[in-house]
Amino acid sequence: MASEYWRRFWRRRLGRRAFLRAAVLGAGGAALAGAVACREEAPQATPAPQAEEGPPKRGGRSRYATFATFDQLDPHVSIASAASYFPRVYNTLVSQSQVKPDFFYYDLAETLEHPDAVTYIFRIRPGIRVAPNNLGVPEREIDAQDAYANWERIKNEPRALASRFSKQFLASHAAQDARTYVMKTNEPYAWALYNVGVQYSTIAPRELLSNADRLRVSGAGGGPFSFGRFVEGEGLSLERNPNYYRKGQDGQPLPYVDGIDVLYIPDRAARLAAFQSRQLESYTVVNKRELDDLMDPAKYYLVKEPYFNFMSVIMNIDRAPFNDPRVRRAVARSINHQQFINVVHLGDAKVNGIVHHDLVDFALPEEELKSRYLVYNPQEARQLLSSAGYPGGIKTKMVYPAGSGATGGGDADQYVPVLIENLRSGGIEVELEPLDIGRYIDRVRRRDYDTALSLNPQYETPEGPLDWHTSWGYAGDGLSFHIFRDAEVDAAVRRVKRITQSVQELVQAVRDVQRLIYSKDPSVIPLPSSSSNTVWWNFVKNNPASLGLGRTYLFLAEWWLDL
Amino acid sequence: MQAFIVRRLLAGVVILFFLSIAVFLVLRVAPGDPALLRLGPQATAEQVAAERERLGLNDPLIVQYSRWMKGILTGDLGISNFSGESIARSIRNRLPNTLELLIMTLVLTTAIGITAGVISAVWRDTLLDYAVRVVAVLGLSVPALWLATLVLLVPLQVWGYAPPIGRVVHFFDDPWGNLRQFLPAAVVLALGPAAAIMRLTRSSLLEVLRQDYIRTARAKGLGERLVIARHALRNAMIPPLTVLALQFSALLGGSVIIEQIFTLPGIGQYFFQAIFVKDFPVVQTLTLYTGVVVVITILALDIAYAWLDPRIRYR
Repeated sequence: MASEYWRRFWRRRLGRRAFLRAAVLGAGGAALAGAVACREEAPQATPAPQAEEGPPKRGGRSRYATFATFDQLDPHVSIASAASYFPRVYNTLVSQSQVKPDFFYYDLAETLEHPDAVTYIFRIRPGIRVAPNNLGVPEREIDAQDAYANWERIKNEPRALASRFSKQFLASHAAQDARTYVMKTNEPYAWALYNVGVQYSTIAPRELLSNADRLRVSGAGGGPFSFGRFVEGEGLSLERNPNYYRKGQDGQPLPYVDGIDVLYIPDRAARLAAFQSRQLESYTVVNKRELDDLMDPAKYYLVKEPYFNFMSVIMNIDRAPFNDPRVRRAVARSINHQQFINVVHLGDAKVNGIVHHDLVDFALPEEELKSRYLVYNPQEARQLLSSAGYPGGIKTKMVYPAGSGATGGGDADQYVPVLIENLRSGGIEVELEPLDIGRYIDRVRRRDYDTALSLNPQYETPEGPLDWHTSWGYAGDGLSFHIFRDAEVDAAVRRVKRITQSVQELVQAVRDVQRLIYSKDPSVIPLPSSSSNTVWWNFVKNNPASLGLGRTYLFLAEWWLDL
Repeated sequence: MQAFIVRRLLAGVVILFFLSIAVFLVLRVAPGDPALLRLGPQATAEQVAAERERLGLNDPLIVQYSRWMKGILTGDLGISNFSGESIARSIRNRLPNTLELLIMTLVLTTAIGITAGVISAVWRDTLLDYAVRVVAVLGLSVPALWLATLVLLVPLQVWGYAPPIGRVVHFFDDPWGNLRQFLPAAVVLALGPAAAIMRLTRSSLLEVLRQDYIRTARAKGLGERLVIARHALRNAMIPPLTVLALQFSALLGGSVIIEQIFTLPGIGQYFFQAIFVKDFPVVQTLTLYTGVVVVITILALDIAYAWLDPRIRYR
C-alpha cells in the first residue's frame, strides 16, 4: 500500500497542479534569493504567493482543529493554542522565518533599517487600520505609538512570554514619530528579530491594552481577521477584517475566506472523523503508517511542515558517573539513531544533531552527523566504560514523561523500548521511572534525576538547543533542568549570539559551535524526529503552509476555498 | 421523615467539609508546581516565583483554604488559574451540555434496561430471554472507550458519516443536529448501565413474581399485564433504582472519556483539563460540586425507597 501511495504521489506531482505548485515554490525560492541578495536593502513588502489554479474564489469559512484548549486571547500572555492565531488578528512588525532566516515578512513595518549591531529602525506602514469592532477601539491606523505601548507592556508584564528578551536585551525603545519606531538592544543579539516577530509579540491597538480583562476574551487589530465568538472549552471564531490592507494577486482585498472556525477537538479519532467528513480542512497524521492509510490524492494533498520538537536523552553532569566525559561518550555510542528512525518513525524521520534538522541551514549536515557524531558502536561504548572504571557496565535510573509526546517528536513511550535495548548493548542498564508530566517537570526542574528522556519545548531558533549546553541553561538563569559547564562552550555560544549583521556568518558560527560541543562529549543527545505531515482537502487552494516557512505561513492570508 | 432528612443534610455538610480538606491537601501534596506547568520549562526562576505569588501559592495553606472556602460560601467559585475565566461561568456554560447528555443517557438506560429486564423475566428461559441476556453481557463487557471510538469511526468508514464534531449544536437552534451530536454519546454511555439494570430488573422481578401476593393477584383473576405492571414491577424497582441513581450522580459530575471523545464541552471535560494542568481552584470546586451531587442524590434515593415501598420507614 505504501509503494502504491508513493507511486501515485509522484505521478500526481507531475500533473498540472503540481507543476503550478512547483512554480509557487520556485517563486518563493526566487523571492528568498532576492531577499538574500538584498539584505542590506530589505524588500518593501512581501509579495503574495501565486494562486495555484484558476482565479481565487471569495467566501466560505476555514475550519481547523486544535487538540490543546485555549487559555485566553491575551496576545502577550497566552500560553496555549490561541497563540497561533494572534498573527491573524494583530500585526507583527516584521517576522523572520525560522527555517529560512533570510526570509522576512514585512507586516506593520514596511522597512527595517539596522544601522548598527544594536539598533533596529522600523518604518511603520501607512494604511493598516483596526478592524470594525464593538470594543470601543476606533477604526484608526496602527502607528508607532501602538508598537511602543505593546513593547512597554511586554517589558512590564511578568507573565509576558517575550519578557525574557525584553528584560535581558531590550535597552530602550521609542516612537520617534507616528511612522518610526526604534528599538535598541543592550548588546548585539542574533535572535532579536525573531523575538520581535514571534506570535506572542504582536502589536494590538493601544486602547485594548488598558483593559486586560477585555483583551483576555476578545480582540481586533490590523490583521486579516478579528476575534469573533470565543467559548472556553469549545473554540473560537475569527471574522474577516474588511479593513485589511493587503491585496491578493488578483488585486482583490484579502483575505478571501469570510472567517475561520477553530475547534477544540482533543481526541484524535474525533479529529480524523471530522476531517474525513469534511468538517475540518486539515489533519496532522501521527506517523507514516497513518499517512499511508489515509492519503488519497484524489481528495487530499500532503504538506510537510517543519516541526521544532524532539526527544533527547539527557545526563545529569552533577551526578556520577555522567560527570565523566568517557561515560557520556559511551552513552552516545550506544544509541542507534537509525533504529529510532526505522522503528519509532517507520522510516519517516531524520537524525538530529545539537540543532535539529528542521532548522535546515543551522543544523549540521546529515552525513557529517552520521559519520562523526552519531556513530553507533556498542563495543567502543563498553571499552569507554571500562576505561572509566566500569568494566561491568553501569546502571542508571531514567525519568521520562509517560504518555507525553508530540507529532514530530514521537511519543516518549515509543522511544523507551528502543532506548533500553540500545543502551543495554553498550553496557548500560536502565531502570525506568515513568512519571506524569507534572511530576516529571517538577523532578527535572530540581535536577533530581540521573538520566532523563526529555520531551523538549519547541525550538524555533538554534538558541534554545545551544543554551542547553551552557552554564546558564535554557531558561537563561542557570536554574534550568539541565546545564553544562564548559567555559569554552559558554564563550563560543555567547559569540554566536552576538552575530547580527550576516546570516551566513551566523549559520557558520552555529555549525562551528556544535562541532565544539561535540568535542566536549555533550550530556544532551537529541534523538531523531520527523517533520509534521498534514493532510489537506483538495478544496483548500493556494495553501501558504506549502511554502515551508514554519509558522510564518500563519501570517499570510492568501488561501481560498474551492467549494 | 423530616427529622431524617435534616439529619442526613447535616451529615452531608460534615462529609463535604472533610472532602474539601482532603481534596485541598491532596492537590498540594501531589508533586508538580502549577506555576511551572503553566509557564513551561523555559520559564525563568523569577517568572515562576512571580506566577506563584500571583496565584497565591506562597500563602500558608490555612490562608489558601480559608480564601477558597470564603469564596464558596459567598457564592464566588473563584477564577481558573489556567484561563483566568470565572469558574462559575465555565460551569454555567458547560452544565447544559452535561445535563442534556445526562437526560438522554438516563432515558435510554431506563427504557432499554427496564424493558429488556421485564421481557427477560416474563419470558424467562426462552430464546428471547437468552438473546437479551447475551446482549446484556456484551453491554457490560465492552469498554465505553473502545465502543465510543467504534461509534465514531465505523459509520465514517462505511457511509462516510460523522456526527457534528467540535462545536456544540444547540437543541433550540437545530434539534436534528443536536440529536446527531448527543445521541451517539448517550447510547455509548447508556449501554453498560442499561445492561446492569436489565439484569437487576430481571432477577428482582423473578423474585417478586414468586411472592404470595402475586399468586393472590393472579387468583383474583387479574390479567398478567396488570399483575406485572401494577403489583410486581414497582416492588422490583429498588435495586435498579439504586443503579440509576448512582449513574445519575456520576454523570452529573461529567463523563470524562465520552465528553472528550465526542468533543462535548461538559463538566467532565473541564475536570479532565483542570487536572492535567493542575488548575487547583477548578479541581477543588468541581470535586466539591461532585460531592454535593452525590450527597443529594443518595438522600433523594433514600426518600424514593420509602415512596416505592411503603414498608420502608426512616426514623
